[in-house]
Amino acid sequence: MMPTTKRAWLYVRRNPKRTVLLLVLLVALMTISLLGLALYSASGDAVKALRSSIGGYFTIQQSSEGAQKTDEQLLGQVRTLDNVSRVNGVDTYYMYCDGLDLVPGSYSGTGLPGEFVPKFIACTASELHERFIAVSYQLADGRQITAEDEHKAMISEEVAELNGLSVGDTLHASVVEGVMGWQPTHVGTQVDFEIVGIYAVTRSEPASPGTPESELQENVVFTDINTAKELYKIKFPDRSAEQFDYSSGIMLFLDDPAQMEQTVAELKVQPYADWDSFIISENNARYEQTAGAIQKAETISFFLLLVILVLSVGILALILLMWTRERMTEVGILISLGISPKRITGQIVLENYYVALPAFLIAALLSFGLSGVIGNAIVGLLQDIKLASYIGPVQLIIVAVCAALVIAVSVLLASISIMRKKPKDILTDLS
Amino acid sequence: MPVLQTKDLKYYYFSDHIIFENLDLSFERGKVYVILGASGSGKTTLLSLLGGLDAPKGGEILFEGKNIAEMGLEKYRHDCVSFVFQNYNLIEYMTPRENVQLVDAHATADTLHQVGLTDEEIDRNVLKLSGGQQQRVAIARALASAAPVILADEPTGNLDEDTARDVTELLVERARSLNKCVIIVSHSPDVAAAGDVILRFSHGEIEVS
Repeated sequence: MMPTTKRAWLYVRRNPKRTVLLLVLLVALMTISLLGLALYSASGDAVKALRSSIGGYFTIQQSSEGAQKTDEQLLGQVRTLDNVSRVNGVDTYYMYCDGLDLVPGSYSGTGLPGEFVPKFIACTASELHERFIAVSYQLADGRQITAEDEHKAMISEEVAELNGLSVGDTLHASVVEGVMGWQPTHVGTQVDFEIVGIYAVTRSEPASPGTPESELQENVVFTDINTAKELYKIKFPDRSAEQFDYSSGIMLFLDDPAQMEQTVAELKVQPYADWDSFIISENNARYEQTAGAIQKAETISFFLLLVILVLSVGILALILLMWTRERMTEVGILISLGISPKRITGQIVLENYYVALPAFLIAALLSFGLSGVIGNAIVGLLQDIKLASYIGPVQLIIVAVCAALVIAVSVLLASISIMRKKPKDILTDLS
Repeated sequence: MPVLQTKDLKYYYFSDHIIFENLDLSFERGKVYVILGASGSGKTTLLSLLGGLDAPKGGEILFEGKNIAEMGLEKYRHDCVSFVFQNYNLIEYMTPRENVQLVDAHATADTLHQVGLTDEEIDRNVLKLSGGQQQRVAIARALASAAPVILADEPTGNLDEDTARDVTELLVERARSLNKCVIIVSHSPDVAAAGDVILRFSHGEIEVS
């Protein structure tokens, strides 16, 4: 008896119109499905990246009644929390900068100790300071302060202009009598900062005529945390490095702001601190503003994929069902020759697989080719994402398995209705 | 020993419309049986039962003494019987050679030469052959099968008189030479003349001559 594989191959070869039609149909459906899957994966990553870029953070600050401090030890412990991607410890202090003209405030030209005293904000990473996150400040020149820096500073454009300073210049700071936060014994302490960056004030915060000069937005000097720790040792020589106090709090940043509630809840059950000693403030405003749009993007990409897959499966199944049912004559003849229904069904499935295999290879190549154009054309969100990189083994396997299943199930369903008939009835229908 | 036998065979479409009952027939190798009778008399139904294409409502069919239902109808159709139909029933996308290879993968061109096809014709698509040539292919396919019984349902029904005579002669001669049992359902007197045994169907009764 002729093998099933040969019968299937002969059918594919001798029916070129049907074969080409099925090949084109499969290539189209597989390409659309692959691109749909890639778009879905890419949009998922884009939404994730968007969430991450929007960011969310919460701040731990010591309360006035609390005994515990936001010290180095606490920072080391909280940074191990799940979902926390980055940490920024912030310390604030004041120092006298002789002759440094500041944007005029209530101390300007008074001759009082408060004059020439900017506010020093020491950060683990200045780019993570809330004013930079809120885009009240933007880097205008040079670079941000990092955790590795020592004796580095970043000043405002206004202060730089008032004093003719630029990146690379040095800022001299010292402790004089009457400067807030220092004891008379510390008078004479000096420290120099190299200016590594200049920021611009992009959004003004309201200031009253009574606002101290040091508190004006433009008069902030960002410095590194290592210098703040040096000054802490001078202030408190009997304390250990572990006791260094991030006086303005510790900011914890989440990769996925949607995890905010869960992460704060997890923090509050940690045994290493008395959480009543701290004020925990969540800042998820930007995420909450865009959450609706993000969810919409996720829903749209999911339904787009669903529609693509359902339509593809539906069209393919319908056509295969119709084509298989049209082959009643052939099935009757093969049955009369003693070929089992199982082998006949196997032949028809195999015929479609013979066409599906090259169709799959063409679709894979075509998807890679079209991915760039389609990715950018369909979803602006994905402009920076290479869609081709999302057509990987997972997407290829999903499409291959789906196509194989749809072919097998459609042929099986169509065959069942024929095979259920008595061979005599099939042959009677033929004649 | 008969190659094929029916015992108390009964068939009806509805219980009040019995086609035949208590039918006892016996068929031997090397002989040609022709079943004659009016349309609707049950000739084709008997052929379908003998070919394992349908199951009887009563009685049994024995192939070399074994009940074909117990053998399995699929296996029976494959190993024991082969068919020749009025409308040829060839696989349209195959050549004559491939149609014959459906039942015998090792069949050579000789099988088709013996039924009168040329080298050029045996590798041509079957739809490009005349009716007579297509029926020759169907006969070659039945002969190529190892099955000892050939069942032919109106094999000359679609052919002109001369071609019908040639095809009948061919079927009968080749089957006899291969010691096969041939059972033909026909209306044709020419076909009847070629038979060794005539089974005449009339009102559920069978007259054997």
